[in-house]
Formats: sequence, structure tokens, C-alpha cells
Amino acid sequence: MNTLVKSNLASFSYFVPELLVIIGILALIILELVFKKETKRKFATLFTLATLIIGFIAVIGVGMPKNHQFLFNRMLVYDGVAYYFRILFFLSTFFIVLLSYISVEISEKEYTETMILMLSLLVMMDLLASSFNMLMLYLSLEGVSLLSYILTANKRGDVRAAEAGLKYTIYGGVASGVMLFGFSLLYGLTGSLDLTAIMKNLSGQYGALIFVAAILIIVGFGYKIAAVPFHQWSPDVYEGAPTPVTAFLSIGPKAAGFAILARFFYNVFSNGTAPLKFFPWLLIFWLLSVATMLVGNYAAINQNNLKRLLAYSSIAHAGYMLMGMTFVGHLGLRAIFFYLFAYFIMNLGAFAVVSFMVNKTGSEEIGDYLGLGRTEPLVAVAFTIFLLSLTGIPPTVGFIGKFYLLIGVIFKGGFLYYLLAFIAVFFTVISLFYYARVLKRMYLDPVEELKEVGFGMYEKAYVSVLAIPVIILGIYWQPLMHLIQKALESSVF
Amino acid sequence: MKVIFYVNAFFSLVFALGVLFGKNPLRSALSLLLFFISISLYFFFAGSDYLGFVQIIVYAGGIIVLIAFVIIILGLRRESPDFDISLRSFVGIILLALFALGVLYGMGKSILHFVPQSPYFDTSVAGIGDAIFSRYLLPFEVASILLLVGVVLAFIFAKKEV
Repeated sequence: MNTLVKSNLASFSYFVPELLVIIGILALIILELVFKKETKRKFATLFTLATLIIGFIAVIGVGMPKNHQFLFNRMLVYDGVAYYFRILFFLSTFFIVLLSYISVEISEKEYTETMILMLSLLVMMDLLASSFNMLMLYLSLEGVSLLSYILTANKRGDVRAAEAGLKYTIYGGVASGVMLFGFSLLYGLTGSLDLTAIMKNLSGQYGALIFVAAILIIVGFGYKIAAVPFHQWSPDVYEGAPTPVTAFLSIGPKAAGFAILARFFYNVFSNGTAPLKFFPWLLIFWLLSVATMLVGNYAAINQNNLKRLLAYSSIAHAGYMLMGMTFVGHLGLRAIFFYLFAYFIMNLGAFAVVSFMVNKTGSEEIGDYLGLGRTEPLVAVAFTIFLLSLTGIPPTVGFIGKFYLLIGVIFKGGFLYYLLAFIAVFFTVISLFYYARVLKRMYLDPVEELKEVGFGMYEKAYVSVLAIPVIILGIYWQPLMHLIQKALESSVF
Repeated sequence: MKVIFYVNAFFSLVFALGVLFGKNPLRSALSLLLFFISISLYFFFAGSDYLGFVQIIVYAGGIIVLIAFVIIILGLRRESPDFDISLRSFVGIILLALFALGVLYGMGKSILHFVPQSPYFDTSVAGIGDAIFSRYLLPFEVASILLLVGVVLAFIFAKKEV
């Protein structure tokens, strides 16, 4: 047998979780025709959750590899980081499905479709985070984008969602076109699509052109992680999409975007220890990071719509995470990866509360959170924990995440790095202002008559399950950090 | 050979501009057709005849006919409005020009060299078939799923009720 075919067949043993999810997707498409209308929602959810749990067991079963493995003839790489992101994606999809189950924004008609789309998005994110070839990278990135557009726009009878979806699509089309132009320049210069081969074939002779290509590629990735100035789509999309979908977009594709940003730039524009000389990492990512923090935090101050506020705050958090990309080294990477996990828990928690409020009151305005501290103490306390964690106040996981990011930058040393750390701390203080506005509304503002919201056990259990790890990981975070360290050691970075 | 290459490059530029500035949509579509054919010549120059033919069949043969149909069915015969130069688009044009200058500068600094033929490929039909089902199996499958997803997206946008 041909060695290429052999390699494809051998790769399947590392590809089991994705295969299981794909089987689940296909089964769900058929089952949708069988399900009865009244019980459809319950069965579709149960089936999706079962798929995710079996897939997650397979993820753990495949486990962290000792050395990185190239799959499908170097199209993908399976290493510690791929393993780590698989865990992150499976967990986030699991919680999002639970959130969608009780959401009133996803109607019965499109519920099964939404489940199928979310599972497909999970597969595409897995592929994206482990791509090692520009062709594969582009296809999976486009897959993640297209599925996100569908999830955003697929809300019947809602003009806002349709508008957001169309905006997202047009913006994404332009961004990926620009990125593709960058890829084609790189391919033209090196004659290869494989990331390692590109790095080896890049010669300083074409320095200026390589710089242009890198900038063009950053447009595509920057759009995926919503970094300024490629962020304009995100507030509208976050506001227009159903809240569970918004939560998913803000954690899943964003984490995948960061994974591929790090993988691409570490493998193509650095030799693992130092950046290549014709691409100034510090300058580019410094500017990107500061601009993202500035715009995200500044625009969040005046928002009265909580979904929009969280959209801008998610832009600001991309800015914090970009600090870890300003230099080459594991110190930066582990900070980014840790922060992505922290961000997943706390942001999902915040969006969950918003989603529950939309279910009960139909409102996303901060004003309608008046007196929540008295009517729903448990949910309000959990919401407080999430918001404090988003600000970065100890003892929450958000504080540890920011701490690692700042430590990385400060250890690097140098005026620009100290300045960057100072700017980040400054914006953290500013962010406290807009997060605290919500808290003030919940606890301090005078209430004339209390309106019952009426959260059930489901909502209370959900926010508790998310709020407890925020605190626990804020005090005892070493196991997670240890996992990330081990993942990085076995990875191609 | 080189002369033909540059002449062809000149014409593809002319056709591309013709698409942008054509007043009649049908004429723009025709320019697009000629543009695609001139693009296919590049594939022939690079020695991959198969891709050249596919380019002509799929784009010139299929896509352009589709576009022409859409134009005829929608009856877009009116002249398109002139470009509206507001301050915003003016700034955009300046930034774009700066960017184009940057790319040209980079290209000028690097010696124009022709890409060595991709080391993986035997560009015959059999060779491409081999590549698709062995080395590029996964991207090929993902691309097919991507097309399906694209159809679903188009369907969602094309629905009658919002």
C-alpha cells in the first residue's frame, strides 16, 4: 500500500473524538425526522449531550501524546496543545448545549439544526486548532466562520439576527480574502504550504514582502479573535445572535483563533526561541494589543445593553491576551492558554445569567437588573463572582490569568514591556467601572417594588456549577497550569 | 514565452478594470469571462494543463453563464450609478493606495522570480486524482463539507421571510 494512504489510515486512531462527533451529527440529522414534535427538544439535547460525553471520553482516552504526531500527511498535528484545546472545546460545547436547552431565543423549529451546527462547529474548531498546513488552516478557518454565520442568522422572524448574520458574512468574506492574499504571497515565496517548510524556505532576501504577507494574515486571524481594528462586526453580531450562540462565539471560535494565531506565528515567523528578524513581533502585537484594550474598554463604558457591554468586554479581553503574543516564549503561551480557560468559565457564566434573564424578562438592559440581589440572591452572587473575575480581582481565576499575562510581560523586561503592563493594569481599573455599574444596579440602587424573576433549580444549578470553579481555580490553579506546561512541552512551538 | 506572459498579464489587468468600470452589467460579465480565460493561461504557463482546462470549463463555462442568467432574469440593464466619493471612501482609497505601494515596494525589492513548480504534484489528471485521495484526502473532504455549509448559509439568507 502507498505510504501516503497508510499515513491517512494510521491517523484515524488519533482522530476518534472527531469521528464520534461526526457520527453523532449524521445520526442527529436522521433522528430529527423521527423525533416527535413535543419531545423533540428533550431528545435532541440528550442525544447531543451523549455524543459530547462519549466524545470527551475518547478525548481523554486518546490522551496527551508524549511527542507530537503529524496526522493525515502533515495536514494536522496532534500534540499537547491540540489535546488541551480539544478539552476546552468539548467542555464549552457541552455547557452551551445546556444553555440552549432552556433558551427561549432558539425556537423548536430550529432547535435540532442548532444542535447539529454546534457539533459541526466543534469539529471545525478542533481541526483549526491542530492545523499544520496552510490549506487545512484556511479550510477549517472558513468552516468555523461559515458555521458561525449560520448560527447567528438562523433565527426565524428576527430582523436583528438576519442583519447581524449578513454583516458578519460580508465582513468575514473580506477578512478571509485579505488573509488568503497573504497566504498566496507566502506560498509564492516559499513554494510550500507546510508551516515548517515555509519557515525553512523563508529567506531574508524578501524581507519586505514577508512583512506584508504577515500583516495580511494578521487581518484574518485578528478578525477571528475580534482584535481592533478588525472588531467592528462583533458588537452587532453579539447583540443580534441568540444569547447562547453569542456565548459560544465569544469562547469557542475565539479560543480557536488564538490557538491558530499562536501556532502559525510560532512556527512560521519564529524558530521557537526568537522571532525571525524581518517580522517585528513586539511592534505589531504591541500596537494590536494596546489598540484592542483601548477600544474595547472605552466603548464598553457607555453601554446599557448587557450583551453589547459583554461584546466590548470580550474585545478588551482579546487585547489582554494579545499581550502574551508580544514576545516569543512559553511564558507568553502558557499565560494565553490559561487565560483562555479562565475566560471560558467566567464569560460563559456571565452570558448564562444574561441568557436566563432574557428567558424570564425578555430584556438585555442593565436597568432591568434592578434589585436582582434581593429577589434572586444566589444568581446575583454568582453573577457578581463572574463580573469580578472578568475584572481580575482576587481570589478569582480571572486574577490568576491576568497575573500570568503581566508576569510574562514584566519578566521579558524593557521599557515597552513595562509600559504595556502599566497600560493593561490601567485598563483593568477602568473595566472595574463598567462591571461595577451592573453590580450597583443589582445591589445598591433603591428599589420601589420588587419584581419576582423566578429562576428555577436548573438556572441556579447551572450558575453554581460555573461559579464554584471560578473561585477554586482562583485559589488552587496549579493543576491547570501544570497541564498547560506539560501540553506545551510536547508541542511543536 | 516571456513576451506572451507579459502581454497576457497586461490584458488580464485591462479585463479586470473592465469588470470594475463597465457601465453595462452584461458588459462587465463579458469582461469577467475574458479575465477568467486570461487567468487560465497562467495555469498553462505553469505547466498544469488540467487546471487550465478546469478553470475555463468551471469559471468561463459555468459561473459566467450563471451570472449572465441572473443579470437577464433580474433585468439589471440600467446604468450603475457613478462612484460616490465621500470623505470616508476618500480616506479608504488613500489607505488602499498606500498599501498597494507597500506591496509593490516589497515586490520590487524582492527579485521577481517564478515559483518553482510545486514539488508534490504530477499535474496530469491521474496525478491530481492521486493527490486528492492520498496526500490531500482530509482537506478534500473538509472542502466538500464546506461547500455544503455554504449552500446552507445561502439558503438561510435567501429565505423569503426574514
